[in-house]
Amino acid sequence: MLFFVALQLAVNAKRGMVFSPFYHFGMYAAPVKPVLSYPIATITVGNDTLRGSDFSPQGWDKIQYNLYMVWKSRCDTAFYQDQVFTLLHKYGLRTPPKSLYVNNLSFEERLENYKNTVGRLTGKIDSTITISRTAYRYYAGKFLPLQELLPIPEISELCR
Amino acid sequence: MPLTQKNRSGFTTLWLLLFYGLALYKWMEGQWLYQVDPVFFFPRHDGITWLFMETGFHKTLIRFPFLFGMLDLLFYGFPLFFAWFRWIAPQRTLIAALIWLIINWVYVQAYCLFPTNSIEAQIAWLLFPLLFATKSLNGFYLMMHGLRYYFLFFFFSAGIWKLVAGGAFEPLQMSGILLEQHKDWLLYAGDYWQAKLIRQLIEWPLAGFVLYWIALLIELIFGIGFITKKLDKLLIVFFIGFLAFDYLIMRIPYFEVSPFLLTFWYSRHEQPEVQTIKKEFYPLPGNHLA
Repeated sequence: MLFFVALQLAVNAKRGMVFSPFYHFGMYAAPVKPVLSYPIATITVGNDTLRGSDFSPQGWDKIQYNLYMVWKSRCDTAFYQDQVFTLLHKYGLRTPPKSLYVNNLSFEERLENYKNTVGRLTGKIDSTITISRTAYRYYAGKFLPLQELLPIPEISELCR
Repeated sequence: MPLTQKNRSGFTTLWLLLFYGLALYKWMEGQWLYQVDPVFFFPRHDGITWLFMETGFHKTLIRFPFLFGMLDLLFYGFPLFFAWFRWIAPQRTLIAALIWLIINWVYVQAYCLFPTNSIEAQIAWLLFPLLFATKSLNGFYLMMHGLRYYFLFFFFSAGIWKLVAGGAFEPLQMSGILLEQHKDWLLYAGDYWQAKLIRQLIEWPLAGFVLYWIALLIELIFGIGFITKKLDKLLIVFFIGFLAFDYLIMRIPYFEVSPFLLTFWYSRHEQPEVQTIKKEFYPLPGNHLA
């Protein structure tokens, strides 16, 4: 019991790094204010834009969250270099090979696989799937487009 | 009334029902590993995950996707096997439970390395094999309360963090969270009832802020469980309400932590007395004559 308490408190004191099953349960704890611009990805299958209300939360996550993770997975090298290698090296511990932290598939292949998944989920395997990203402003219950198209997020934006 | 073998069996049965109910729900939502069929991974800031990655198993899984289905079979099949094994060989429960523990840890570590779910939602599967590993009724009682304390801490600390990090003092907090959480969903949700509800909360920040504080107070109320077990039934109601609203407003299906509710339901039983334990596990000479 004391061991448990000590580990849990240590994880809470040292924010960031955790050791399963001792976590830092701080979700939505930091202040989150509405902002002026929200970049939103729109996925179109054939001529149809995917609508969140047609999917369960898990189904929608497979579309939007997975897309975000495909983008974010470009951070794998930076994660290894800046987090794993730096931290373990600092404490004089053996550093694991980089290959264990870096994905084998290229970013383009991961994106292609994502599109295949979306095709499977929507039952339109042969349709063209396009992804666009636009900045919106939320005003009076609606999202109003601020500009036409945004590029996919930069690595520097994702790998914080 | 002290905890009995009958209570333990009841706990196990309910746990199995919950586990397989959730397994069915996850299968219907396409959340089993073979259904997710991941092709890439992304690590977390978790020392245990880094240890797991040392084995390279996550890359083996991606190389041989049929292993996803094998892992699903082990993860979803083992609890039934364990229940059967405990019935036929109760003296060897510990070994079976340790195997179960390893299966669950490997499964959860792999599952959460792929973009599927947060590992915090999987804590029940990481910890409950420890409860079923216990041989004596007293051990079961103590482990069950250990898990209860873990869950209390989970909720209570979530409330404390909202105070410490400052979210609780930001009047536009809930509007900001809802916009961030649902922006892509709201954009094309039209007049869907849930979208209307969420928009109302965004545009009426006071209502959202009050809701945030209600959630925060519910989390803090769990701290009372450290002092007394008398309010555990009330905590169950709060927790079910919390889960329902988490799904309704945040669209977060956090149902997989629900097995912890059983520790609150059975906490009303007292610690089994030593004599009871002896009678149940180590029959005393002459007891059968009584």
